[in-house]
Amino acid sequence: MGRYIVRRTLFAIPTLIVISLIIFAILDLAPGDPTSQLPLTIPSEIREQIRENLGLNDPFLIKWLKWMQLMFINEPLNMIDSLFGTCIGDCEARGRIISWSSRAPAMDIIWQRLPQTLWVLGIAFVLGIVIAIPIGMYSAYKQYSAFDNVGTFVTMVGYSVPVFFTGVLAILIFSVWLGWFPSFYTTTHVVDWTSWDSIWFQVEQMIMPVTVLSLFNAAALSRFTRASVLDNLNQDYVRTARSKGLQEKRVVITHVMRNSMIPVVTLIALQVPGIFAGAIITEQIFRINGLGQLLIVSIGQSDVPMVQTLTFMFAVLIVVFNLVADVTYGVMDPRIRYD
Amino acid sequence: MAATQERVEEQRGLQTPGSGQEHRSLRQDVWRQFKKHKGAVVGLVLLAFIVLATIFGPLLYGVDPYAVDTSMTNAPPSAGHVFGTDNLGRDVLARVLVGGRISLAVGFVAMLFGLVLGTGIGVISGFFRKLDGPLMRVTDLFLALPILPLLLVIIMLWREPLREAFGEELGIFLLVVFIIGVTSWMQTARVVRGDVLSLKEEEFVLAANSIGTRKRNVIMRHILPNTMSPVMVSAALGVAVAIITESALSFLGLGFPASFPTWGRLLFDGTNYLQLSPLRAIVPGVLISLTVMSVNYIGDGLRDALDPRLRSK
Repeated sequence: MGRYIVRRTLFAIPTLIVISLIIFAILDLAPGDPTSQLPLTIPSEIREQIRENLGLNDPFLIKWLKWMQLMFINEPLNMIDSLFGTCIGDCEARGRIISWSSRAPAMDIIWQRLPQTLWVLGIAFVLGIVIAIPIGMYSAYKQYSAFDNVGTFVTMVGYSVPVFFTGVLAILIFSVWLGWFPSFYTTTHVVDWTSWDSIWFQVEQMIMPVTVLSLFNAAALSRFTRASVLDNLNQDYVRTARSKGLQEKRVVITHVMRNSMIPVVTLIALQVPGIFAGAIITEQIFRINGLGQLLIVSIGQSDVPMVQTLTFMFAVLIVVFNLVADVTYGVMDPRIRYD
Repeated sequence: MAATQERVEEQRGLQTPGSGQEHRSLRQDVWRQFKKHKGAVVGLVLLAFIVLATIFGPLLYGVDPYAVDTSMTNAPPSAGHVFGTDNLGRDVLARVLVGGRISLAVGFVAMLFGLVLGTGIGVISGFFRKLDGPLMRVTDLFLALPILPLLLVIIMLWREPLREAFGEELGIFLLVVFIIGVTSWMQTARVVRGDVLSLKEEEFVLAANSIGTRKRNVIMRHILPNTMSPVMVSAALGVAVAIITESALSFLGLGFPASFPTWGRLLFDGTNYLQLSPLRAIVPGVLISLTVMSVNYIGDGLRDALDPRLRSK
């Protein structure tokens, strides 16, 4: 198993390098000039100088290698330095990936935006799992019962209706018509944990985005859980467990649940990057200034370094969680031998 | 020769109805099983209705979706405007019907493109051992790409040049269809490859090879028709994914332009007028959801119908 984890991790590195090349190439080879946004009054010599300073005149490979050095060496070193207060090497003069529009290091902006995204996403993610697994299990256990039929239909609806419509619908019903919740997220609000009003304000504004996102995640997950439990309920080991006189509760919880959770846990790990992608849309609907909104704004401003960094971060998430999914699958199911 | 012919006729004669051994083709079998899935049948009817409504609806309804009427802005539903009008006095229903044509066209064309690409790569990868490794690495790589951010970036950067090259409508259409297809073939390729790997060890393929059938013909006549079950299921799911992706892009303002609206774009434009005319956002949103839901149900029904373990019951 250990060898498998090491091999799988080592394989992730070339994947990330190729992905970084693809992301870099798409942004770099695209038509359009990054200096075209600058005022027309800038004389052409100065414009040329700006291009030179931004490193736009270098050959493609040199630009990519420079960017790789910043992304894979300088940024991680900087992260270590700021976490532990150390100074590895020449930490003052270390180059960073600088956003063109805000002139600040791209990673610093990402760290600033991360909490907003994580709060909403994290709660929605956990809530989705908590809702989905019991519903999926009970649905499968009572297959074709009224609960199962209603549940299957509701999860199909939840699975089919896109987040950008449920979000709009939620705003229309709960903030335009009923006026219960604010229609957008006040990101300047700092939660004061000693004041109920302040906490309640945060809860109120989080209810809609969290509900919308968690219901969508729950729908896909509970469909999957139901299918997985159904697969297991007809297995011989379940009959054996019952025939040797085990209590029904133990049959279901110790035997069926443990086995049917194996693919579900894998799916949960695989869902994580997808949830970040879903955040792009949710944050746009509810005006949350998280990472998704940062990406949209940066694309609008043609802020190439910011977009490259963010897209690459999404890619890292996908690769890491694919790895996590593979490894947990191997750990949870000893029948699967990779080497 | 004639005697053989007769014998064959005789054998067929034995299998006529009444002798208990009714002949059923695979297609009829699948259809029988498909009809048992209520959701799938309802989905099929609903999808057919939506497709027909977007094709013939604008002709029957007869209201110009582009006609601006400043005396009738944000009007509530009335006899002349069934779902009311938008902020420029354009009829909401007429715009939704016309917009549906583009949304559905994107869905089906992008699905076809992704399907052909996925099936092609799956077959090549399963059939030719030397190409298997590299092609599967490419598939893994595509699965690890952050699709939505990349789609946004590609559209942002390539929209203008394509608009100049192919014109406003066709340029965006080609771009959206191409990028959705290029980013959605991976699951099909994997499933088809798995099928091809087991199919090519079957005896009928061995027989075809031993009588000297060309590789191309082996693939076209023997391998491809047998991979159709998983391909059909992924076709149904592919339409749903393509429609949702296109709507999401349009919803983020990076898909089709406002002058050439799809359901996603209409929903996006409608969100700014939720208080004045909520139907502007609700109608396209409901249509996207209904279409995706019927396609998903059809996919479920197909999966059940094409599963031999279920069909034999």
